[in-house]
This record gives sequence, C-alpha cells and structure tokens, in this order.
Amino acid sequence: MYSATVQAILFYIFSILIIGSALLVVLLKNIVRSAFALFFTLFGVAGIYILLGADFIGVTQVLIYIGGVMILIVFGVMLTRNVYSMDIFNRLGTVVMGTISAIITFTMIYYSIKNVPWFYIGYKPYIPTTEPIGTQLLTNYLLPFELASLLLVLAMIGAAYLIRIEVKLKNNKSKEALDIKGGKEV
Amino acid sequence: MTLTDYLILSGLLFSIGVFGVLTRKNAIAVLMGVELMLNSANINLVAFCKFVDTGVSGQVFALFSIVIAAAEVAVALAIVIAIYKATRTIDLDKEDTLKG
Repeated sequence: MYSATVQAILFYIFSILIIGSALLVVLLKNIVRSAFALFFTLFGVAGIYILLGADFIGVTQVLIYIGGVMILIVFGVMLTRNVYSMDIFNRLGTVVMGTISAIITFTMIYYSIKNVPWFYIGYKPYIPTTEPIGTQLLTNYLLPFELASLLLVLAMIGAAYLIRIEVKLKNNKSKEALDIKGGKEV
Repeated sequence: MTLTDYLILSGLLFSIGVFGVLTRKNAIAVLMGVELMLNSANINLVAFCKFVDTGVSGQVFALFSIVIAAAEVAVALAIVIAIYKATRTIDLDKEDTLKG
C-alpha cells in the first residue's frame, strides 16, 4: 500500500516521537508535564500499530490508553498533593544504578535480537483486521474474553473499595483507626 | 522496515521504562514507567503478528494486554490514593511502614 521509503520515514518519525517523549516522561521534574509527555508516547505507539497494519489495536490504544488510562493518571496526579515539591529522583546512587540497569537491559535485548535468525512469512498486505479479531475473540479466545470482562468488573469494584477506605491519623486512636472495615470509619 | 527495527524500538522503550521505575520517587511516576514497559511489550506482540504470524493472534493478545493494563492502572491508582490519604505523601522513600 505504501512504498518502503514512506514507511521508513513514518517509522523514524514515530520512533523519535516515542523515544523523545518517553525520555521526557522519566526525566522531567514536574509530574504533570511527565503525564502530558506520556500522552505523546502513547500516540506514537498508536501510530506504530497502524504502521504495522493493526488498525483496530491502534484505535483501541487511542480509546483506552489515551482516553482512559491517561485521564486516570492525570486524576491521580491532581488528587495527590506535593506534586511540585518532591525531588525528582532518589539519591544519586540510585540514579547511577538505575542508569546501569537500563543500559544492561537494553544491551541484553539488543544482542538477543541481533543474534536470532528470525523467521519471516514475507509480505503481509494491509487489510482491515476488525473482522478477523472479532471472529477470533468469539471462537478461539472466548474464555479469555469472558475472563477479561470478569477481571474488569473485579478491578472496578476493588478500586472503588480501596478508594473509600478512611484512615484517621490525626487523633490518638490511630492504631484503632488503622483497623479498616469496608469504607466505614471505625 | 524489518522486524528487528521494531524490536529495537521496543527494547529502547522498555529500557527507558526500567530507568523510570528504578529511579523515580513519586509513586505515580513509577506507574508511568510501568505503562512504558507495557507499551513496549505490546509493540513486540503486534510486530510479531505482522512479520511472523499468519493470523491475528498477536493482535488479540495485544488487545488483552491493553485491557489488563487498564484494570491494573485503576487498581494501582486506587492504592496510591489510599496510601496518600493515610500518610499524606506518595514519596516512595518514606513509605516504609511495611518494612520489618
């Protein structure tokens, strides 16, 4: 559908968008700015999905990640205080160890990728994937599909339960107050 | 563009996520690092689906991964806000109540 050159250009544009904004996510001092940098990372990943011929997954990424997860994260940032006053990083030693760990992780992944003879099936045309995904979901993957719905209900109930827990720390009965019972103050 | 290019992109994104998880102090920033790692895994699934698989199984798995990530982030943020209500901070260095 697209020529190889256009694909390469799009790939590099999306890659720069993803890697640059991901670096901003982990390096920016202000957590709100990190959250907005994460927006661009997720958009770039959606673009990579569509470049890979996965149109349905790309749109799902935009709907669920950008429309749902990001809004949740921004709400989490807004509902907790001290977003500006906190130091960005841990102690310097932790930063050094984190950098070393990240470099080791990437080196391992890179040499693994380079040393494996990948098996290709050749050219795969750009066709709409919604219909085959729907067919697969209701035939081969019916049980995981139903379990996913169950998981979402459980996660929703669990999140609503956790958020309603009231803990009083100011009074002297803090030990008693930590004995939490289902959303009620004790 | 070959498969290895996409895999290297996802490896870079994963490493950045590892760095974020290991170094940030803010609990929500750590959660963002986890999101980066989940996204890199999803790129891998979709790339293998494009280059190695004949059907759409990889994309179905990516779909389940996105669903589970959404559930995970909801519960994790609820835990973070519950911790914030209890201790008035989300600084991970100060959350040592469970330390023995």
